[in-house]
Amino acid sequence: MTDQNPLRNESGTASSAPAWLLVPLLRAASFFAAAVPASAAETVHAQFKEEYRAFLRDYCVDCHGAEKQKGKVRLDQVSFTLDSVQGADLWQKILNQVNSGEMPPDESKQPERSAKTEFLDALSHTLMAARRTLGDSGGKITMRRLNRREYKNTIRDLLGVNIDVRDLPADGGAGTFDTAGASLFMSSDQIEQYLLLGRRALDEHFARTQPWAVQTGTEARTYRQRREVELHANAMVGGTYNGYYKEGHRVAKAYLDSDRSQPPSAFGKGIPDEVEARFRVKVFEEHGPSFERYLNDPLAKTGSLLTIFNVHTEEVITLPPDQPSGWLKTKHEVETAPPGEYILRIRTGALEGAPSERRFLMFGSRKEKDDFSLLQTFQISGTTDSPQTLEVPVSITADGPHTFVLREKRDPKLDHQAYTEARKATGVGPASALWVDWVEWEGPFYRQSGGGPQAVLTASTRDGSGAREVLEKFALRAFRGEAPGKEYLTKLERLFEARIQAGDDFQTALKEPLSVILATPRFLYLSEPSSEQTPRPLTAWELATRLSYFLWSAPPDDTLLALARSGELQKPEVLKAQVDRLTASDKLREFVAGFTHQWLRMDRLDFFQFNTQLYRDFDESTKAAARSEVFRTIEHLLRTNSSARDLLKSDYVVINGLLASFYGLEGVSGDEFRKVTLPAGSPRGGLLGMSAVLAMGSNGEHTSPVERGAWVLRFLLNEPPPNAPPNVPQITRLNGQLLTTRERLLAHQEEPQCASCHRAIDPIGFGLENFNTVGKWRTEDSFQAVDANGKPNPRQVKHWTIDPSAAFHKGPAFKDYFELRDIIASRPEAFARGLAENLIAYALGRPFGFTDEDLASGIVQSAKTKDFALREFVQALVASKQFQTK
Amino acid sequence: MITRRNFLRSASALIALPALESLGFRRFASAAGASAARPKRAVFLNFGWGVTNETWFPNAAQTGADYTLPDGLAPLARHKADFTVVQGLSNKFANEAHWGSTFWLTGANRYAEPGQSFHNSISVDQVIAAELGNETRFASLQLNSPDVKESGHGPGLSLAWDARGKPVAGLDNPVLAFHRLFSTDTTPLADRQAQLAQKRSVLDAVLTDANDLQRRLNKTDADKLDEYFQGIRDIETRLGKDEQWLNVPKSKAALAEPKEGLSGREEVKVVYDLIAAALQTDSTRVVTYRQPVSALLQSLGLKVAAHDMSHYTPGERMLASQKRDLAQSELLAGLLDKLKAAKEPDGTSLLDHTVLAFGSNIRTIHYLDNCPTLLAGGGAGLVRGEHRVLPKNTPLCNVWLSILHGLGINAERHGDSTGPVKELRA
Repeated sequence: MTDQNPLRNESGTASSAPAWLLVPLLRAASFFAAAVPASAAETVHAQFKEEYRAFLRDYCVDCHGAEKQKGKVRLDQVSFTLDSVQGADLWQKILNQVNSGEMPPDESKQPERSAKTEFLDALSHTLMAARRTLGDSGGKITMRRLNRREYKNTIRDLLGVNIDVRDLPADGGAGTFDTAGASLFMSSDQIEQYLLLGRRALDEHFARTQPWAVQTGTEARTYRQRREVELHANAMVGGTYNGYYKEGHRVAKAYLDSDRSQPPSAFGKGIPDEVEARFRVKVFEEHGPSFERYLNDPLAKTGSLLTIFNVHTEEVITLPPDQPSGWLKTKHEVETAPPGEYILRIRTGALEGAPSERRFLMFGSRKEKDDFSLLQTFQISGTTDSPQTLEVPVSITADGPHTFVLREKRDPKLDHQAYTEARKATGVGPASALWVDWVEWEGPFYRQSGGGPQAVLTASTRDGSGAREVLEKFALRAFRGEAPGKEYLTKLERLFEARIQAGDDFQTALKEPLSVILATPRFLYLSEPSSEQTPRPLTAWELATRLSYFLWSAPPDDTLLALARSGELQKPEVLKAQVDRLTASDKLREFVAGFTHQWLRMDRLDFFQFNTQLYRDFDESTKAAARSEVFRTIEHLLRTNSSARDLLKSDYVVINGLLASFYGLEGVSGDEFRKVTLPAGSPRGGLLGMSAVLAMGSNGEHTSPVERGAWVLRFLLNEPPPNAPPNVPQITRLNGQLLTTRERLLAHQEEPQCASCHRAIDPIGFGLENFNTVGKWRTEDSFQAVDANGKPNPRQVKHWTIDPSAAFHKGPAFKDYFELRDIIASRPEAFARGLAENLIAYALGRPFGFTDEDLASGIVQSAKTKDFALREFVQALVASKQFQTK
Repeated sequence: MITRRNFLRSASALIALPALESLGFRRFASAAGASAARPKRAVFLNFGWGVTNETWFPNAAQTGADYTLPDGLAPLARHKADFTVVQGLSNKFANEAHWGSTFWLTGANRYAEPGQSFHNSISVDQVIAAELGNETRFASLQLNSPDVKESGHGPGLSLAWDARGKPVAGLDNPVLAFHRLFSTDTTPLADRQAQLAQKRSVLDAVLTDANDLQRRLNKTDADKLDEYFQGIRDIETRLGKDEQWLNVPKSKAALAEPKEGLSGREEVKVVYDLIAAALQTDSTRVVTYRQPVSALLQSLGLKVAAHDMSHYTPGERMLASQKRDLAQSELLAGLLDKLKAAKEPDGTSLLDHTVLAFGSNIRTIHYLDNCPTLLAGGGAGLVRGEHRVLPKNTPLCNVWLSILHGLGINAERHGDSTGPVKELRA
């Protein structure tokens, strides 16, 4: 860092070092420290600055010194170099004791607040550094098994089948990526699960690729069935209205108006007593008009309307054997839709006058009665006069859903409220916004998988001989080009023979050993054999595998395997071209989503249920789109090789029509994410302006400046604050008081235990307060006090205008979000460094440690020469010795 | 169409583990040693994000039998004589404020292994299972909730960690657990023998490849592959047990198959029923359960996120925290009812022969000291019906060691234990 840097340390010189250091200086963690990488050749250890020895001497050594060693702890000779687990544990204990306020004890001399704050700040960061050096992998890459995502993708590429892997344990956690071999465990249950899933995948594979006719004895063909939806809709709505409401009302009314000498049953069916009669009169008056309006609408004659709350809230597309409803049976051409790829078509349009935010259609699948799992949300540009046809490809499996559901985009939890409000105002429920003309399904279309056993079968033999050949070919493919052993094959063959003897036919008997292949170590593990402890270069096959699991989370394809076979892949220019090719593929999305989700800890987005009472438009569809925005932006940067700086600040966003509507950006419609140039002065552009990122910095109800500040430090400035420490006293004295968020958080500055971290975290969060819980721009905020029972007290409300100004801890001040963003954007190198470290950890499958310091620096330097173009990070990493070495 | 239920049925038939527990076996066992003492059992229940500090712990000044049950434990009043609340316990290495389970039964130091960023050691239930698990169909039973991710448990696949400190998988579907424990396998004996033989051939085949690979790996990778070998050995052990139990007549479980998709309170209730039934049928003697918290809140109609609730302040979040405590105590009281009602042949209750630990590594908010601990039952000869306040930061592992000793397992230490807790001896 030079003196020209605007972020100069207030205390002065460019050489001023942070309070805690590594020897040699390992890595920068203060906002101002220079990133001086250490040489990997030296053994380094975290070093606590000697100046803090005075703190120990003044406040600890009286009881923990040469004369007294209370609790058998002696601190007068403690080493300030944290070079062992025991040494680090002792310091951890000291940190915990001071943090919890137990030490120094109340009756002893107490340190000044500021001295204690500095001590805690320095020690907690030193310990973070120590954990990193002591936990360092030493450059080893532990062999790993396929993680859950990779397993799924590998089965997909091998067999052309998408299987449900939810029964496998979720990977990741403990602060590592799901690619870290050391953290990917194996258990007996899991091995059994692999056998089971492999068998299911093979069943599905054969069912799909084998001509359906062979199995069913019917003609092999695809089917296409269109349904004019008004038939079912009118039968159901009309039946409910005429039967339950209208007739029920007539009977109830006749009974109630009578002299009651006869029971209700004398007037008609379905009403047992007076209570029910009164109820039916009431519900008829409440809901009858909404049904009647539907049935009288001319659009209901040619299609169906989607309503809110009742009448006709959804339309369905059902593949046999499923039926749209119990009211009318559809005659299906085939009894059960065979597994395979299908196209669903929906002819639909928005009603005249429907507001733009209601022109969205949710599309989901249904496994049981009323469930709905959202697959996609479509923006509807068609009208009832000129409808559009949506085409949706879906994969149908034997035990997967056969029913698909269409709804207007919304949070159904708010339906009752919306309906009641509309009914009170107009006598009927909310007007419909969407209309469906017809729905259709077509399929199955068979998808050919590369080296699936069915292909091998067809190519070689069907006559009952040659099982070994099939097994060998499939194992070769499943082992990513590595030949299976002879003895192993013989044992597989015996399994096959045992099944034949048990009476299975050729194909069924074959499934047994085939599924065993899918539970074999060389399929389940990405193994890179090496007997020696010294590193060796990867073979071309291993390189192909490492590369494709890095960028695709999937096995190498034919091109990569061919380049491995010829050895060409190891040529730098060929490898570089392959990175470009893999980056251009659709499969890149596996990497983008898998890496980004974990890197930016996006699971936080699912921690809470967002309060749609307060944030009505942040429903499931919007949340999904907001999450996609992060992924699609990174995908865009990789594909176009644009600068990673755009993630800090940019004059464009990558969004679709739904998000444009949410952000209030004009002129964008359609479901495709695309680059959209922002108007001047927009707070969007870059991660900080993304709804998903801001929403993660909330609890679904209120913003959390602490979460946001910590997120910025961790991911944008690469100065991760220590994890929330245990046993720090909670501040409760401000509970229930009418204070602004900021006033409340300032209490963090009072206690050294809090201040040591929060002085760096909170100010950044204050600068983001102009974004509400879900990331919409706001200028006002309020606080509603609640009583001891959690009930809001209407007289205890405070409103205020947000003041986003603050200053970085020992750093520059900013007056608003825009200045804050500019300061962060002026530090692309810090961001690049954090990105590089995470990419290394993900790609190499080991936690980033001291060993990889040089590699990270090299990648950042290399990317910097290309203005931090995102693909350069990947290229530099793939070209590195570490990536190509076992 | 194959429904999930059918799939689970066929899964339990296909995967090792045929059926049952049983009266049949008990007849066996008692015939073999009619005068033998009743078997001892151990149950460990963990609820992730701690409790409400103010209302869960008894007043520290009232110790012994004469203490007032605090509000958070009020639903347990009818069992007051059967459990002891212990204060002052902690895991000294615990440093992860969001990990309520990972080290609860192990007392390990996450950073103990140089060159590794995560380390764990054997959990006390597995120590017990190694001793008590030989005579039952399942050496131990690990139960889990599908909801664990947001429930403050931390890394792991269940509460259990094996002898090498690797996570032991847990069942997170009560229906699947039910079928594993109690489903009747109607396959004819000969076919089941053939199935076992075939499974052994399958293991033999994959082992051939594993051995091939193992020879060519460096030490770190060979250690990694060793998990696979261990997995295979575990399956073999289970197959061996299956074989032993092949001729044991089947008896019906004392409860109906659970419904699919239960969540939160209903899930815990059903799993508690399964635990009681598993112990009663002597299907296993060691059970752990990593309980849901986030789903529990949702099932109680509380809209607060679990982590936020754990950081309660007076008002909505604290109320949620207290309601959570009540729900957990009510559920536990239900389990104790069941264990008491289950009579052993000698007229004593199942609870008399069971030691049950109920707690978390997290006390409340971010506090990892004074881990909430409730010990129930007479299985380990621990004091019952009292409130004990131990010296601050007494290792939680001292309690686990006391339990080991009480169960007749002669361990020198467990985790970071310094010795058994004298104050807990009955």
